[in-house]
Amino acid sequence: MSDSERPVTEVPMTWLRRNRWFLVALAVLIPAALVVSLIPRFFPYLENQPAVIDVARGLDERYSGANVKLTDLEVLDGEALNAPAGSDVVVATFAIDVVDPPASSVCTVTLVAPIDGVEREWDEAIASSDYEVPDEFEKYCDLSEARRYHLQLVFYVPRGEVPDPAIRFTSTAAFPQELRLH
Amino acid sequence: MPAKPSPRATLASRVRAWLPILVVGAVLAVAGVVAIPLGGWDTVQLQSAVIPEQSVGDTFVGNRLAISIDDLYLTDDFPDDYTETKPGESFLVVVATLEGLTAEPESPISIGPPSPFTIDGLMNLDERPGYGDLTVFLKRDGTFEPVLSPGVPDTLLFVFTVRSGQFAQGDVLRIGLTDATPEKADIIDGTRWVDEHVAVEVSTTVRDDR
Amino acid sequence: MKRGLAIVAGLGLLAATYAVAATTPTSQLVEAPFGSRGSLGDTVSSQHLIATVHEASLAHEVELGSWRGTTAGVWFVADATVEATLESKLIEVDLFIDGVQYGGTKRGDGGTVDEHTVAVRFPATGPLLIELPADVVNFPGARSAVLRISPFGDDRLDSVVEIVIDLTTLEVADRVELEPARDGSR
Repeated sequence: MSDSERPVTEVPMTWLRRNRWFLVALAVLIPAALVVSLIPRFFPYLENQPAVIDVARGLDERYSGANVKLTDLEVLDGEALNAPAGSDVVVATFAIDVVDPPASSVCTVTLVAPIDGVEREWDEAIASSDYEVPDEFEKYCDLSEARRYHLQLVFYVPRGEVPDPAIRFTSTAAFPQELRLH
Repeated sequence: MPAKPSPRATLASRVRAWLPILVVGAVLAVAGVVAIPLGGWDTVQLQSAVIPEQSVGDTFVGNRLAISIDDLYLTDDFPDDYTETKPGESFLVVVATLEGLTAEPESPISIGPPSPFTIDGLMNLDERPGYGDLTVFLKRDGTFEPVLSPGVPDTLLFVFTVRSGQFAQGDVLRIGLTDATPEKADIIDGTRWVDEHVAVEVSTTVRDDR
Repeated sequence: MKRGLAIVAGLGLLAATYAVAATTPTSQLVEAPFGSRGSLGDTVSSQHLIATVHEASLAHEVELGSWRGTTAGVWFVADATVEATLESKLIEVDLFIDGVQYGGTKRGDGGTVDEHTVAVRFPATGPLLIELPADVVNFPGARSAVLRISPFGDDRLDSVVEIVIDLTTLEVADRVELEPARDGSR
């Protein structure tokens, strides 16, 4: 390498070297600024995302001051039961033992199942069919007083498309945790 | 070397300097003396505080609503043909035609904007009727608490529950038509209303329709 | 020379700040919902809903079940099928003309499709009714009215279905009889 070539090749090196500490500072500060900007909104948002607790059928899970157990989950032929056109009937049966009721809570139970690879959700039935919940079951989820009861809820799902549903069980008192009962 | 000003010149220049203030003082003094036989300045009503009046059936165009008061009557028959008066109660019905002037649907009685009108003792700017004391219906089909589409005028019945004897045939009520200034709301998606005031008054005679 | 350049650059930057301030989008624009757009007859999907507006017209009077709908304006009448994509939704319809929002009427005794809750794979079909000013077809925006079908409530930054409709081409009827909304598709 001759002396006359040296400055030409060294010019960029010199600039980088001269500014190396500023560049290092930028490399640290820009990501740090991004993280700091996420503190007020994004991290709380992440913390409030549902935390799903998977529970297998027949097992008790302590949730929102109660022991919740899915005892049965059956998909029934909607046509045989005169259900609304294009629907099957899903009957979910629970054993609930409220031990330590929260001061206030709203319990919501929905049915979830994937269609085309995306999880979909159905609310409790507002439609009706020949299936009737037997008298020994309660029809509304309630975690507000200490007691033991059996609960049965009916859902209508698109016919033939929900072979393997699951139950999403939430209580506002246990937010953002929720149960996924299979 | 400048000449030292004489004392006379100093006095004249001083008076000249104070002249505007002396003139203002003199005008105020004269005005004060003149006002005494007229009862003083306290009795003068600010023209900006005078609320103009309009007649029954005339339309007042505000920022949120165009409104006219069409009728005012006492009845024992609730417009839904279902609710009955309790003993000692009656209904005072204000019939008004309203048109929404904003870029969104308007509920005549809602939380944000002022009530469309005021009636002493029944509905004020800062005091809304309690639940059950006022029910709003659409006159044409009895829809409960109707929402007005922008630019589509309609006639509404504002039904106040009142004590029997609180109002009588021939009573003249001053109904104040309100207005306010819209601002873009920061938190909710919509408008917030500021500077709520009665813009026009309508003297309306109560009819007894019982 | 250098000072002249500095003055020109300074003035230029000042002008640029005014330009930026004057062209800053309003929050209404920044927070506008994301519309999946289509025309009458198209099946349009948003994140929450799948909707088809089969046909539309204007009418001076409508009959829906036992309700007789008269108006000082004119009715926008459409027939639509709506279903949910992920979870049950109560739906809302609004027609936007020249930036003015006209909402679906709540006067129809619950017979309009926007008073229904739609579930995944369970569509509802029925009328949409919106009360418009009597001379709406003369409005500048009447040729490009936007019918928005969205989940009920605040739709800022959300995904919605939007159908672009030329109101001036719609048939105007004196009176139309409508069937209340029902489950199922057309």
